[in-house]
Amino acid sequence: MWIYEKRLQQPVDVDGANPKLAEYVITQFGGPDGELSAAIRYLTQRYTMPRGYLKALLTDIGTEELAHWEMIASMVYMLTDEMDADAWKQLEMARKYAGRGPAIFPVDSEGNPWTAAYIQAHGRDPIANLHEDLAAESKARATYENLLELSDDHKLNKSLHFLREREVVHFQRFGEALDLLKDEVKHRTTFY
Amino acid sequence: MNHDWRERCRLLADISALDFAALELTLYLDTHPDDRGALRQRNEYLQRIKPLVRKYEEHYGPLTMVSKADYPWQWIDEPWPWELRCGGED
Repeated sequence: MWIYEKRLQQPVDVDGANPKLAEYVITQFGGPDGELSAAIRYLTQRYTMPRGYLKALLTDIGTEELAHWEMIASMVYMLTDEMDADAWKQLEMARKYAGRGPAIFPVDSEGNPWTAAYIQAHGRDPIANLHEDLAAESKARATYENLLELSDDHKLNKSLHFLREREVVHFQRFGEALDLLKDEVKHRTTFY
Repeated sequence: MNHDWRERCRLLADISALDFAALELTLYLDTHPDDRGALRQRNEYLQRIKPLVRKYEEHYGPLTMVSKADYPWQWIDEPWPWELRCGGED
């Protein structure tokens, strides 16, 4: 079960309204390497993991990803807050306003809706799962680096830097878990 | 109002910092369960959060769904987390 805390994991703020930047950032809300994909991937894989430390790590990181998902939503919310239909009309991306108004919806930067096809789980192969998780953290880090290149919003960038660093730490923990598991099955130096 | 906002943000920043340190050690312990020092540090951080949470809840209402709450029911109060702009403070 989960208990909601009425605060963000880390505070979020933006310099000002910037719908274009919101359109980039939304990919971490509903894109392939976004926080929703991460949370659902780990919280799905954990059920059939064969060791307690793997169940714990996937539960704990999966839960943290939900908190990141909320931070991303907060960024998009703040970047588009207080924009009315007239403000949207000035923009080429006003078509986004037509379908949902200012709702925060899980899509990537090109508008593709989130899908479970972004993730995978193999119930009898924890090593395959961990390799996917390591790749996922790398791709999420790369996405944050893209966003940092695109963003001139100093307040927002503080949060993007924080989230990028979390991907690095999660990668480290998944790598340690993989090492522990390989030690157990004596596959340490055979990469398959 | 402005002073209250600053105070609220400062308190939230302190809670977030301690909670984050504890979380980081929790993840670390998942792959280093024999590290007594890390475990002790984690528990210390969690202890230090308690008075801050108590202070925050006295002023701004329950922080979690299961916090003890006084009348009137303040859980419904705004701002919700995505509406509270605290990140600009250094």
